[in-house]
Amino acid sequence: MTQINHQRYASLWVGISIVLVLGLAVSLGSFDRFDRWLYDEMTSHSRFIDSAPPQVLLIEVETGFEGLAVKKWFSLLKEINRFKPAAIGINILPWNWSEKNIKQAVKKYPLTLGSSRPENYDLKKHISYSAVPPVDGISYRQQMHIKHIDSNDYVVFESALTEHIKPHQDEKYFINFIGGPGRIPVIKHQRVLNGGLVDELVKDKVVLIGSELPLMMKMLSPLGMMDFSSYQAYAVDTLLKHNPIRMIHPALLLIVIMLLVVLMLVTILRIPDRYQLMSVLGFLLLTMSAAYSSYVFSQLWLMPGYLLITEFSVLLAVLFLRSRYNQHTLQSMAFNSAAKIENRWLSENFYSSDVHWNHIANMVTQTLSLERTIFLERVENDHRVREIKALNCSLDDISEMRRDYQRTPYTTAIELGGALKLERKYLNIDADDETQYLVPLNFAGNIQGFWALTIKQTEDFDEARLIDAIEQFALQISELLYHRAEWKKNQQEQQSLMMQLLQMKFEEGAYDSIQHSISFLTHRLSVMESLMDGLESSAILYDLFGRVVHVNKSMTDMLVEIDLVPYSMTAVDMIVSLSGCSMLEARNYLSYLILEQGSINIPVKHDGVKTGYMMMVSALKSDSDLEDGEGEVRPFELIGILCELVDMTRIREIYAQKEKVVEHMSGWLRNDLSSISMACDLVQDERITTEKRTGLLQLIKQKVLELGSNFEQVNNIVQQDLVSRLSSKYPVDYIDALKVAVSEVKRQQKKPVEIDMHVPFCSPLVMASPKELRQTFRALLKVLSADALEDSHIDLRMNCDKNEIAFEFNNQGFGIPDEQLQAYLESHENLESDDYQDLRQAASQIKGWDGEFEASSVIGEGMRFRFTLKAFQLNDE
Amino acid sequence: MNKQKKNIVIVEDDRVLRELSQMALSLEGNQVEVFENGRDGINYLKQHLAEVDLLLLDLFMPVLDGVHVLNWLREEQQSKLPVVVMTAMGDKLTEQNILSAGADKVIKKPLDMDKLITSINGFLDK
Repeated sequence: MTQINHQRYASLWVGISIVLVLGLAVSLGSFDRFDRWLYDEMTSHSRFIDSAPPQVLLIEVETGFEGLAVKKWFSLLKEINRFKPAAIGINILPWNWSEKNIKQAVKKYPLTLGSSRPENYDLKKHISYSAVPPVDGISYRQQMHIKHIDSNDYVVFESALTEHIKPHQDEKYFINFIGGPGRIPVIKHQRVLNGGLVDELVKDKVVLIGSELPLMMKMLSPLGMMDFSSYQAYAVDTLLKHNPIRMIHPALLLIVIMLLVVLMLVTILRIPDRYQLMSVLGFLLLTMSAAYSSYVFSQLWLMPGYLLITEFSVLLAVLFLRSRYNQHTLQSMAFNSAAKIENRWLSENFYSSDVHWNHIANMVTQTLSLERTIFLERVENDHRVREIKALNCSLDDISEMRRDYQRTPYTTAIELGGALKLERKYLNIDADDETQYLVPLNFAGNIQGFWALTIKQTEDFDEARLIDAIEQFALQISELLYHRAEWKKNQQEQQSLMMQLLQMKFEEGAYDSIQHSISFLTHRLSVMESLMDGLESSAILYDLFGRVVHVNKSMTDMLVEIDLVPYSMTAVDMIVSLSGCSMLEARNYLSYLILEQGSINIPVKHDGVKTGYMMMVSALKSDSDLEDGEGEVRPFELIGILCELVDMTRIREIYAQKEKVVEHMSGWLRNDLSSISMACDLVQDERITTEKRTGLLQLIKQKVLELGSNFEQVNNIVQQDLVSRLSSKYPVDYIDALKVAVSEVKRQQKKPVEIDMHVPFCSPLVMASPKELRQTFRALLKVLSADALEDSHIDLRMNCDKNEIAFEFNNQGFGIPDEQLQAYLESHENLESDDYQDLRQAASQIKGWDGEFEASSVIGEGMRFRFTLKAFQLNDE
Repeated sequence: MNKQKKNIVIVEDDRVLRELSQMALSLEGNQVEVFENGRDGINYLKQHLAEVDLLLLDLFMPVLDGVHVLNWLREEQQSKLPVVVMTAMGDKLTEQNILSAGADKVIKKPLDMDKLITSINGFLDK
């Protein structure tokens, strides 16, 4: 909440901070140099501004005052005075003037004298102080009215020269240089002496006589380097025109700054990011224009330096706020999505609680028929293992000496890279009939822990299968352990303040979260892709606009086979290509799907696709529970269109299978009906004795009861779910299964071998699993076919008994030693040959159907398989 | 009704139906021998083929089905013994296959007494 409030009022705090800091800067004059630089720049660019006519004429004495005789001075003064100037000033008292000369000149002319030596001041009140102006950094912009030296006040020459016109009260003033260097007219004294003065330049104006000697002081003014006399002339002109430059009052400046900050924050925060910089540039331009106008037209200096600094500060603050907001939004998005994804994958509770490990331990124990199980994880920075979960044992059953995972048996298991059968006792348990195994749990190239387990070896114990299954589980458990270790590491880091300080990691960065989320997403995506690819049906996912989003492997393979390129086809194209319907029909289908959010089934009619395929097209609706609140808006709440090609052959086969069963059972029912009907006829026959009639009536009653029971059995069998009960026994037409297996094996045969089937005209159904029976026949035939001689025959014979069907398959082949064949059949290990592995599986399958199986082989003659399958009879389960 | 005593052989795996058929045909004055599968039927016929007037044969039987018995009779024995096949299979294709295998008549189950007797009378009259 605090975070939200802080975020909400961030701009207010930032605005106040800027105003306070700049207020302090104004009072300390922190940015004065920048501001004065702007002042000088604006002044030097003001030469085109039409200023009021000058009130001063500067007469330069080229030879210096020391080179001009007193007589000449008086000639000069006389000549000037002839044009009736308002005042005449000589900025430096000529050295050759006597007191008498001074008194005479002052009496005769409106003359003010200046002196650079204060001791000359007050000499009959006719001499003022030609003071060096106050320096502002390295530049001169101002002049004083009064100079204080040793507790004495001296009127400065410029003020003294103009005092009789207007009293000056300010201690200092900014000289007005607006108009540029040529604003004050300057003429040489020789020209004056030669009668070159004109009335317009002198009459009612102040004439300042100054020395032009190279040794005279030069000073840096806003108009560049300038001699002292010229500087004084600008000062005198400023005083005469009463237009010194005024500085904005600091309080007013602070108000302006405040208004500027508010205005900019309000404006900039409301406009899009891309216009922010432009708007700040606009503010800068406006500020400069206003400052320039105010300066040149009103002689008011707004101190634009501070205003520009304010604007830059606001820009930086806005950028900072924006970046902080973006960072915060990004971070919260990243955290939220990471949390959501992680929770969808495995909740945090999975790692923190023991409950899930109980489930895992129970699940593996039950699935693999284990006696004991213990999951161990590595102790970080140690060599020992620690118990995560154990069933029917505990860590105490492992002796202290054998908990070091850098020693045997751990190292041996790691080297083996799989389940290690332990010859020496590892779990100290009192059960000699249990075999112990140790499995390293390896994920991402690191050992995450170990899994120790025990199993009782029974007669049908298949170690190869067990190890295979253990290793499959071990891989999954390793991944869980890896995530658990990562989670624990994060937890520890979050709890350790010192670690956070050392790593300068105060909170998880947005990029870490994003990376986390992406890796989870990638993982989930690959799982989903594997899932899609693993589907038996061919599937293709389109977005709402009919563009391909994903095609699974099965679909890709099928489409490649029939020369269709899914990624260049829309959903409409695909429907048209595979169903043979018109473009209009396909569009209508899609309209229906999108608007009604239903599904449609279209039979596939394509030369390259075998018959029996159905195209199932359905609209995928978004699940509101899984949606983000801020998720994208989708029309019709649809996220896509799923197009599946489902092989209906299997379903057709199942129906055909059921039809066969019904057909067979109807034969029995017809027999029962025949019996009842015949018995009824006989009962009515007068030739039948009473004794026989009674027997027949009992028979009828019995048959009726049997008929009811048989009907019920037919009903049960027909209603059985063959799709999900693939491994259960069901009445199967073995002839059909055998024919399919024969044709499959014939297709794969690499040499000419005939397969002769001797099938009875009528045969009962056998009790087996429809799918597995076909695989069983195929496995037997493949071995016989591979072993058969070229151009030989494989003979398949079936004999039906009331209770069973006897099969005899033999070939004319090379044969293998019979002992070897028996060894293959009896072995529990993985066989190199897939054919014999399948043969062993087939034999086991036949026995699982309560049949018998025997195989024999003679070298040079071939092989023979004899087996039986139970016939289907009424009252069978 | 045919009053002359005829020798009829019934091969039918369903015990009840077999016995009821035997009873029905016996009531009509026939000498009826019954067997529960094709193998037993053939064994009897090997001895008494010349004495038998009609063979009433079930199609679907364990050990040896009706088609095998027909094949034996027509191909191996070259016998023209009238054979009436009883079948619970209702399709035309099965019927045609049975007839081409040498059956003289095919009667579909379920049977009643009249249907049975009417079906075989034609052959017994000859």
